[in-house]
Order: sequence, then C-alpha cells, then structure tokens
Amino acid sequence: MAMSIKLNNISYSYESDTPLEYQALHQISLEIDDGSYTAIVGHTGSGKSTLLQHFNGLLKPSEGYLSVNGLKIDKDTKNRDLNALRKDVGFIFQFPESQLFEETVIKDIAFAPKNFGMSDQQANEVAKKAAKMVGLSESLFEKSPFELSGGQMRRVAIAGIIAMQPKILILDEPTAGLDPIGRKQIMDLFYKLHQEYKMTIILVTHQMNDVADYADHVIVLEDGKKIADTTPRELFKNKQWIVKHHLSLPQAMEFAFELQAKGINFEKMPLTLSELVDELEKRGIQHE
Amino acid sequence: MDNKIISIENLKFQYPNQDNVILNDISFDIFKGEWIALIGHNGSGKSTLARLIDGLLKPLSGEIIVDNINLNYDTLWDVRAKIAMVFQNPDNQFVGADVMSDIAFGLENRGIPREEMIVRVNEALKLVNMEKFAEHDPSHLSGGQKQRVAIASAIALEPEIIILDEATSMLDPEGRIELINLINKLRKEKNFTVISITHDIDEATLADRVLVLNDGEIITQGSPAEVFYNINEMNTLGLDIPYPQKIANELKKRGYKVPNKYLTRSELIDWLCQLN
Repeated sequence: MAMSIKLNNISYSYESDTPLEYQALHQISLEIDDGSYTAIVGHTGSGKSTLLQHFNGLLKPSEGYLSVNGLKIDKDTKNRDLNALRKDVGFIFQFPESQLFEETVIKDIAFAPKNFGMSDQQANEVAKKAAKMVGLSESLFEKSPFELSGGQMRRVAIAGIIAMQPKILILDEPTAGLDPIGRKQIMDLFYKLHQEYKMTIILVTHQMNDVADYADHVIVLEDGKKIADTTPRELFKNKQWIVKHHLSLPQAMEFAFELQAKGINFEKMPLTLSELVDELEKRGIQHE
Repeated sequence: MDNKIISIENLKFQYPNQDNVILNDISFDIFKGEWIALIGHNGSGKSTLARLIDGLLKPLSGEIIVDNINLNYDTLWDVRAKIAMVFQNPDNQFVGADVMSDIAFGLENRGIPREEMIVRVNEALKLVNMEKFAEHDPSHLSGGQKQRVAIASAIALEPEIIILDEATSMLDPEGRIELINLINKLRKEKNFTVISITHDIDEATLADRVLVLNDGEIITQGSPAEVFYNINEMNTLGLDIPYPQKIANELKKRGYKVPNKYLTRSELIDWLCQLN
C-alpha cells in the first residue's frame, strides 16, 4: 500500500492560548510521494523539526489536516488512533543515542519491536537483522551501548528504529556531531535503505551537499512558511534566489559558479563532486 | 603571542577499568588570544582533552597549567572561573526555565552583581540574535537556536578561554559562519582564547593553528595550509579535507596531472583557468 503523505493547509502554534504563543508553521500544503527521498531545508528556527513531528502525529496541526497512508490527522485526532502509524513511520531525532537505555546493544534494538507485540525470539531476530543492516558487528551485540563510541551508539539507535520495519524514515539532522567518515557511512546507509528496501526518506539537513547527493525532492521553509517545493537541480540552478533566502549551494555548484565568473562555461551546472569533475575533464587537463 | 595561556605536559588519560589509552603522553602550548581548531575523528580524544582542561576529568598523569595555575584539586575552581565551555548538545546544559535565566545561571554562580548580570545577559542575547526569545522555554527552541543560547551563556561569562565542543553543529551554514565570525570578533576585542573542537573543515581553515588528534596522540599541528597538506598525504586518517583538495584528488584519481602541493581555493581556480 502506498505510504504517501499529504498536508493540507496546516498551521501549528506552540503554547497556544498563552502570552508566549508562537506560530511555528503557517498554512503548509505539500505532498511526499511513496518511495521518494525528500530533503527539508531552511534556517535554524524555520519550522523544520516542527513540521517533521506532524508526519507521525507527535504534533497535531492547530489548523488544517494531513493524511499519512490514508489516515487523516487533525487537531482532534486521538493518540490511540495513531498507533499503527507510529510503527510505519520511524523517527530518528537529533542525537538519537540519548534515547538508549538497555543493558545490551541487542536488547536496546529489540525493545521497540517487543513493545509493538513481537515475541522475544521474533524481536531478537529482527534486532539482529537490523544491527547487520546498519553495520554493527556481532561482537558488539552483548556489550552495553554506553561503552560504544558516539558513531556506534548512533547506529544502535538507528537500528532500533529500523527493527520496526518502518515504511517511512524521518531523519532530523541524523549526522550532527559525527566525523566525516561516520557521516558518510550513515548517509550511505540511509541511501541503501531507500534504494534496496524502498523506504521513503524525509531528511532535515543544513548540508546542501547531502541534498544534492541523495535527495530527489526538496522543500524549503522560511519563518514557518513553505517557499520552495521542487527538485534539487531546479532549486540550486537559481543562484540569486538561494542568496536572497540566505541559503547555500552545494559545494560543487558554488565552485562551478566561481569558475563561471572567471569565464569558464559549463554545459550543465554540476550538483555533485563527480559531476563537477566530469565537466572539468572536458577542459583539456593533461594526463599523467 | 608568547604568553602561554594553557600548557599541557605529558598528559595521559584512560577511563578506570578500561584498557585503551584515550590520551597518550600529550604535550603542547596554547598562547593567549589564539584560535585553535582541534580536529580528529570520533573517539580520537578531542572531547576528553577539553574536559581535562576544564577539570571535569582527572588525568592519569601529566600537568595542565592554565594561566599560570597548575590544575589540581585545590585550584580547580580558580581554573574553571577562567574557562567557559559549550558542549555539543545544549540540552545537556540547560537549567533555566527560560532563556534569560539560563544565561543568568552561570553568572549567578560566579557571584556577578544583579545589575551587571542584567546588562550582560541582554547584551549576550543580542549578540547571538536571540533577544526575541529571552522569555521562551529553552526546550522549545530548535537545535540551532539552543546552540545560540549556549554560546550566549559562554560569552556572558567573559571568560579567558572559550572551549567550543562541536558547538555549532546544528546551525545552518549561514548562522554558523555568523556565530564563528562573532566569536572571532569578540576574541580580538577582548583578547580571549578559543579552542574549537570541530568537524567543519571550513571553520578549521579560519583558525590560527590546527591540532590533529588521532588515537590519543597529536599527529600533526600547524597552520591550516600545512595541516591540510599533511592530512591529505595521510589519507588513511579519514578526516575531511578542504573542497579544492577533494577536486584535485578526484582529478588525480582519474589520471590527470595536477600540481603536487596544497592548493587554496583561489590557487585551484587560477590553475583551472589557465588551462587551454
């Protein structure tokens, strides 16, 4: 069954009906297709995390409604009606390792599947499978998650989500604080889940390189409003618009624009490092 | 530049009941007013080093001297009074019910008079562009906004040394540059010292000096240009490198001839422009 997400004019306010009421989202409509890889970008405080928390019903819109997998959510939706949804929509928060608590790695990963009704044995099996999917070696299974490095702890937390076999994976800056190698491994892992297991991925990020390298759909938020909804190539083509909205370009494109300003022409503006080097190759660089 | 603010001698650290040595016989000096970028992969010992300097952890052996005070049990609080630390995940250090009282907390702790406290809190909030949020609950802020508040708390203390442990990792690129520039400007005005633990290579290239930790040892240090040349030569380290170097490496990998030295961005552009 297709797991698309549709938002119809949703608004959200924090601390409603208090003097501190703060409207974080303004009338947002959008659609996220089943099997897509969507990046959500925007400044600190633009409403990205608030928006994400609507996708699995952690927050309910103050106005408007959304539907996830055909289930309609509005301000009156009851939490008990969201149980099935919460299993289908896996949510990886910033610093997910802060949610680890069990004695061993494998118990931690098996916790959620058990919670959703699997037997111990079943839960153990899916936990092992999930651990392998995120690249945790078997020698770590019986260790305490708190003995592991930051990167490994994050893998454990991610495995705990994947073990529930979600159809949609929501990632809120999933690599903050990881070193470049750890970052790339985790991002490649999500891409693999997207390619091989057909998971729908929704990624909140400040890294325009990740938007260029992985996403096929990008949504830009500014002050709680949607200001763009397009493909990465279309978005980044318009440099003036990017500058005007204080966003940045993927490094490849930024470099290409700098070269262009010096009179070097590109047949196609490159989005990624490898596209950039493809273009540079045409410039008659000598072979060794 | 020759007055030392921090001096580390033969520092060793390992956690109790664990075999692996986190820091292995490290020695180096940091000078007053310097901006140091401390880089290395996760688990290389960067955060441990920062915590040792602030006396949050106790070394196995070796000496830490901060502003001529030898750090030990008796001098701990004198040393901490000189240092403001900003951790990666601000949730771990929020205590106030609203943003303003959170920043005030550190000042209260140091016995700053109320009138001055109010001035400093407001000034710090304004500097990081968070004055609109003074009365908000910090837990309702976004990740990047929380990091701004955490940095404001450090600035308000007017410390001798600011240690940033991945303190801008959740900010958008523009906000990150803005805050780094702000701290840099304040550093020059007030002559404090900055130690920044970072994975952001663009930020590291702005430092006066880059120190690279690997498996508990300083394996190279120097100006950003020197260090990034060395890192590229030791590509086994798995550290990020500046983008121009990535382009050069990719061209080399595809069999093309590129200058065999560290190229800055403009050097690489010039080189590409003079072809054909």
